Amino acid sequence: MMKTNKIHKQKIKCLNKIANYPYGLQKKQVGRHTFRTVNLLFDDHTEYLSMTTALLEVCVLALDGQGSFHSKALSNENLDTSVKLVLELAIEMMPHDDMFKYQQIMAILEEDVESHGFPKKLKNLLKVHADEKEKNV
Amino acid sequence: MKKKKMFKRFSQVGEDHLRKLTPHPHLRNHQQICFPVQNHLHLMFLIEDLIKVSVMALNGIERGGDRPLKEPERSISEVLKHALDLLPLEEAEFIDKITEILNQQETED
Repeated sequence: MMKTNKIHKQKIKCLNKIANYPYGLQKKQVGRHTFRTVNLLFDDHTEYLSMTTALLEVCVLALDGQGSFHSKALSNENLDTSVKLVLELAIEMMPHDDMFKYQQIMAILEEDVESHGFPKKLKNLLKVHADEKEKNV
Repeated sequence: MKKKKMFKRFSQVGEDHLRKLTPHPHLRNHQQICFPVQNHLHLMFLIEDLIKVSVMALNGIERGGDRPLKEPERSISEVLKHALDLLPLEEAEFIDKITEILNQQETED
């Protein structure tokens, strides 16, 4: 009978592989401090600064509550444009890659061998284990 | 200052200061920025704050309707902190250094 230990070992190996995928949030360590980093795409510096400015604009508009700026220099700024840019940023920050990792991790923990991208080696081990179990019943 | 030497200094200043936006390793003509978050949950909190502040910008901080937003000031504060993290300070320093080198060159000429 195949030892369940072998399956657990393979599961941990697969989980480690998923955790180390080069996409999604990446682990960074500075001294004793561990954190994660998010990567965002921009066309250029101008687009980047527009986005940062939009963050400040929505904060001003949220505090002001009137949908307008006091400063004359900002009077041409459009509320809808700022909100749209911030919502776009929120969409781009959505951790889709991490959700994919989550799905794969859950599939391994729940032994859902039919799920898309389930590790082949683990699938075979689980199949052999299930067949052996059936024979012994 | 010789042109070659000047461009060498430009490149050096660029290497020292252009850190916030870096060219994307796989996509041409795209830049990427990298910012820190504590963990996955805190990234979700930040996204939540961005959406909340957008709602407040559209509806006003007081008017929540049938679903008033909790701790609106805290959400605004978090978005402001995020804007602080994104400020391109290194890039601003880069422009200052380049201008300084160009001014120096102009004086020499």
